[in-house]
Amino acid sequence: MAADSPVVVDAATVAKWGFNETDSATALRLFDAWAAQTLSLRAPDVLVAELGSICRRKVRAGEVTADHAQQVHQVLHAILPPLVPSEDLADEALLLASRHDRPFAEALHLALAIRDGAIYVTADERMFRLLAPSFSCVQHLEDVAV
Amino acid sequence: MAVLTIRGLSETTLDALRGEADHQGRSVNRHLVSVLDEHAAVTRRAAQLGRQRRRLDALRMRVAPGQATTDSASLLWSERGGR
Repeated sequence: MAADSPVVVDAATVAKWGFNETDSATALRLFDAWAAQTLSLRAPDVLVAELGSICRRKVRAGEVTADHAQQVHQVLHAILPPLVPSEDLADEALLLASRHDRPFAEALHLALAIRDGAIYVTADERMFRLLAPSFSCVQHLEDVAV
Repeated sequence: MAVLTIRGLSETTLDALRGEADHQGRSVNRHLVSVLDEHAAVTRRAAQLGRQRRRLDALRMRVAPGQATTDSASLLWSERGGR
């Protein structure tokens, strides 16, 4: 994987920019590198739905108020990386999802990374362990050098 | 070939601009305007990202400063049904 490869992010990584989590600092380094134009970020447009779901779950768990989640959500939406229409990725994503028995939304991210020669960054240890053996483009958030 | 009226550009820079303009099939002047427009857009975007970054920093600190919330990756895993 080239050092200057684009990076595909998912809603969890973006959410870490706005909510205080254990690895928010690492996720923010990715944001800062993107803002400084030292790397290129992108995501499938399903990120919008998944980001909203994460915010809702944080409210539901009583960790943040609905008002606070709304404010974070608004700021995050103002700084989303370029979004790729899911319809452009859907056929390849379905193949990947079926072949590897993975959720379709996850496969959309994989399909985008494969199509663009990008790194797919995940902060989820379980997902990383499942995908990394089959997909060299998958990297754990902690392992991304920025 | 268009005549540039901007002073101070080196021949090397002008050659590069001419090459890019040729490649894109437009005049050097038009290409130069496009380059400057793109640069301005990048600068505006960087400034916007900086402002929003500061807003996010403030919002993160407003909820129990120093205390982490649930890992969004776990929430996403649940949202997707795990597999």
